[in-house]
Amino acid sequence: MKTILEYQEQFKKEEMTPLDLLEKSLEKIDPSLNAYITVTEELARKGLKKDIQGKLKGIPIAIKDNINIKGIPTTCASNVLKGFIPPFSATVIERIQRSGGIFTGKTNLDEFGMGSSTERSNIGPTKNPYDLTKVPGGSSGGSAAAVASGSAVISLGSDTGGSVRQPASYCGLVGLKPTYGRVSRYGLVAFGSSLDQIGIIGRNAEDVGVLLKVIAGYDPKDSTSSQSKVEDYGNLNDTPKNLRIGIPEEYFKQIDEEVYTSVMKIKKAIEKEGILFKSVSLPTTGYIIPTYQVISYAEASSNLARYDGVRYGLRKDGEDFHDTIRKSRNEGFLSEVKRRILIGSFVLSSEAIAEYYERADLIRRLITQEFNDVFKEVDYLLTPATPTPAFPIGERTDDPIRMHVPDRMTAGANLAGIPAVAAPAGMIGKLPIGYQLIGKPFDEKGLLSIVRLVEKIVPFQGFIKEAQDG
Amino acid sequence: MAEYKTTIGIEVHAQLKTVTKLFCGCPASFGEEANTNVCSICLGLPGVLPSLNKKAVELTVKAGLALNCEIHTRSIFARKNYFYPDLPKGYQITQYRFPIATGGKISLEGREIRIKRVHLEEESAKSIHEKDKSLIDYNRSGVPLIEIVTEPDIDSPDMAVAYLKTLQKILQFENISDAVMARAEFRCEPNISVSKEKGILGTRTEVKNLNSFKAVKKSLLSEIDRQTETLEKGKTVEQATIHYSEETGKTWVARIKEESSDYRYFPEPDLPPLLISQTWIDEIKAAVGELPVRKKEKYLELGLNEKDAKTISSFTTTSRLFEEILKIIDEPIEVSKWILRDYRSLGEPDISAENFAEMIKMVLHGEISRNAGAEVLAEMVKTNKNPKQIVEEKNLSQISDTNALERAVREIFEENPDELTRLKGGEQKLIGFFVGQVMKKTAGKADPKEVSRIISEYEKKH
Amino acid sequence: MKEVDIKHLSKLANIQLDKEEEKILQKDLDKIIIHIRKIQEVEVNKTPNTTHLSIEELPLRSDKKEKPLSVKEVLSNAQNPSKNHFTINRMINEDDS
Repeated sequence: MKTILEYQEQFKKEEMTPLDLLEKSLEKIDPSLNAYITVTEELARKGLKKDIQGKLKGIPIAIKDNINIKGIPTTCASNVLKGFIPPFSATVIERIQRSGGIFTGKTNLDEFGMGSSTERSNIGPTKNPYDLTKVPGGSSGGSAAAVASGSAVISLGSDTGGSVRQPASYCGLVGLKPTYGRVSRYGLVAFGSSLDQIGIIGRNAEDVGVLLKVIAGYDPKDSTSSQSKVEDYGNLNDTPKNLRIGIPEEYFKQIDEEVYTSVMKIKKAIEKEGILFKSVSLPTTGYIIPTYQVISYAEASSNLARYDGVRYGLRKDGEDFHDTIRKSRNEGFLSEVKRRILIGSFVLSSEAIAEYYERADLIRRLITQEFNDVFKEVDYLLTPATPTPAFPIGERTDDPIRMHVPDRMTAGANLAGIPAVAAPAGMIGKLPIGYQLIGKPFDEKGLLSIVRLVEKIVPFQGFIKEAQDG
Repeated sequence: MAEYKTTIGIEVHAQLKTVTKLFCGCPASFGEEANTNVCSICLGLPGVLPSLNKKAVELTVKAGLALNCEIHTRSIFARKNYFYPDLPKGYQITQYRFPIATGGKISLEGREIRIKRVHLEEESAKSIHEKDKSLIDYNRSGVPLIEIVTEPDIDSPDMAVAYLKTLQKILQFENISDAVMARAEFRCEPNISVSKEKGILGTRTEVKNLNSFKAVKKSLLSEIDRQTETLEKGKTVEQATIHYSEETGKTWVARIKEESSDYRYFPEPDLPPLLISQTWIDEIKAAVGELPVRKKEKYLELGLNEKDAKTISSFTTTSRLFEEILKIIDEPIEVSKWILRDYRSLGEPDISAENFAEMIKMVLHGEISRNAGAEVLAEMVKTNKNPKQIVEEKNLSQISDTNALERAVREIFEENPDELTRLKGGEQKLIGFFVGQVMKKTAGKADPKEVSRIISEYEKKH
Repeated sequence: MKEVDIKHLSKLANIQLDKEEEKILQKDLDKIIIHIRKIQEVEVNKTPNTTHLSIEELPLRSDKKEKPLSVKEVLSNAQNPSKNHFTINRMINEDDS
């Protein structure tokens, strides 16, 4: 198991070529995992031939299929985008290419990012590499499965309510959701515009930091992107000193006993390093899921209005143009997306908007203020990343309420726009389980540094052996 | 028929004079081949985000200032959600609760029309309809539009047209929009209601699809008739969208608004609040010119007649020059004569106000004749030399010195004894002959007015 | 409290649902709304004026031309393009200019 920097050393010393690494990675693509929608071997080989020198030179990266790569189909796991090939690349893709990174393929997701299991996809579910009967998490399950099974060194996902951190937790990986505005959203197919961030799923904190440094930074094409200075996120050797980490009591209710134990193990390990832990309370935690639902569904209902078959995608002919659009959308969307669009339309409708959307917006500010206040007492928060490890495929498919349960841990950070990272806490039987750290705006370096500290003290033993190369 | 009061409010959409579209760098020009000015953003492809055009903001602020509005230092964009093939995102980015400008007014023939709001939004695409299908061209999609809404302060179709013409002139004058109605750059949607009862407004209808000022007037007149007839019959006027037929000259109900569309407005999450600094507003304010209507009123006060005041005020370069010259010499009527006759016939050329004023001064002081002045003006336009220079070079100075002129007159009298006798005998018209002779003798330099005066006095004395 | 009327919502959302799906979704929506209604419990009168922690002000773009897509690229994903236009069934002339 090598890190990005280690691979680069190997390339320099000519102990391995980028082509070797690419071919080894592609060999590890297991169709039964169903992690990939499109494998981009030709594009990757072409990329290698260009021999671009950069921090990501020769590193095979998997890309969630809601991030555009020019000339490669983007499906968002939806029939509504049948045949769609974008004529432009996302800003993050261009930045990766300029740094020499190459792409193994577009990975599976819950349709348009809506789900927590990567089951609601038009190509069917992705399986968890640790246990093929379990979900890999979602919605960035394909990216997590690709990295956990070794077909990519690192991957991009997107996180609107936890879609990078939860799969990372279920697949024994590090998953970072940056501060809102840290990474450009230009080229990411929008789901919940005020919540979405492109995130990174990798095998260790340093890798995630190296990739973050390449993709982060102001983009004039994204008016919500931040001018805040990009730090050297890959340089994590300074262990943060005099840290105070809060344990919010609300996040430790209704979780599996073993999850509690695993997270507490992490706490105990780093307490020895002189980090102070403090009990804190975040009373608005119980309102996170409904608030997140109202806001994300509302934005989704608007963002998905463009899928009408007129300019691209699936078209089902009807009697008149209204009929054509309505039929196309009905046929193109799977049921979860339809549910969310319908509720989103409801909470924005004139009769309901004040009670629902506008109210949720106010509660969002309360939630944000609560995080603000707690960060006056502590520097970070430690919580479980998910209340349980990966659940069985099919267990929650018909239960839209239960599907949102893991979001309780993660969606708060999206609502407040603050950064959060999930990392492996250990194994529960055959399955990995993750812990989560939440931080102040633009403190990705601090978060990743703590993860690195944990890696040094209690290195994760659960990486899949077959995924590791020679 | 009982006395019905008409109430009209008008909503105008005008295309802004920017180089690029509102949220992307595609050219905002029109008339090109279909779908040649389109990019991923104005096509609404998955993954795109809007990027706001600074010039469009500037022009909207300018329009707000020209209409005496309050400019808000913080305004918000919103999504207006509805489905139509010419709306690529399935929503239009516009402004809803927090527009750029509110609370303005326009003076119109002594009345004040209040402007409710001025805001910025994007245009939709264009569709052409064939027998069995419609064709869509996204060139126009995303072009910046300004929306100007009045309070219901207009009370007749004539006033509505007067308002529209004035607004159009302002937008053109301030270079905010070319506002050509035929090119769909200036669209108006009046809403109108009639009512017998004092203080109570009737149900209003909205007239759409109007392509000329004539259509505006005629459609409103027809709508007044239609509504009054409906009420006289004891029926109620329904809220509806009204279309107008050029052929019949009549309006008809196109769509009843029983269920108005629910646009589900919410703040645009892809665009943070727009902050406009007071400094920037002040800069833009300095560039706002004075409106033609106000200029005309000013000129009337200076003593110009209606026709002259109207002419000068309606031309930007002319009026500017006129006012510059007046700052140097305070002779509005004299200057206006020069502007209207000589300057405009030269085609409104570039000329320095100082030189122009200097030349007029010289004429007023009798240093050169009026004709000479016209010659100097033409020469100044050609060469840009100052008038004193030109007069010297061309030897145009007038002889105003009374002694010199009296001498010249005496000489002419000596040379023309018969005519002198006839003049003394009462043939007044010979004054002209003598003036002409003096002019010939002085090679045109004599001041003909002065010569004429001398001859008349001499004639009187003798 | 407003009822969730799926017929009305499917019109707003422009999705034509089959009868069976309509029934299932109506049930689903009713369930979900009960959970969402939890937000009615919160006291929101003293809400602070912060939304995002990290949004700066809206950046403005200079009015300079950028190269558009070629017509071929624009139409590359279109169904049945004709004469360099996108096509759709005949649109009812709803106040187009």
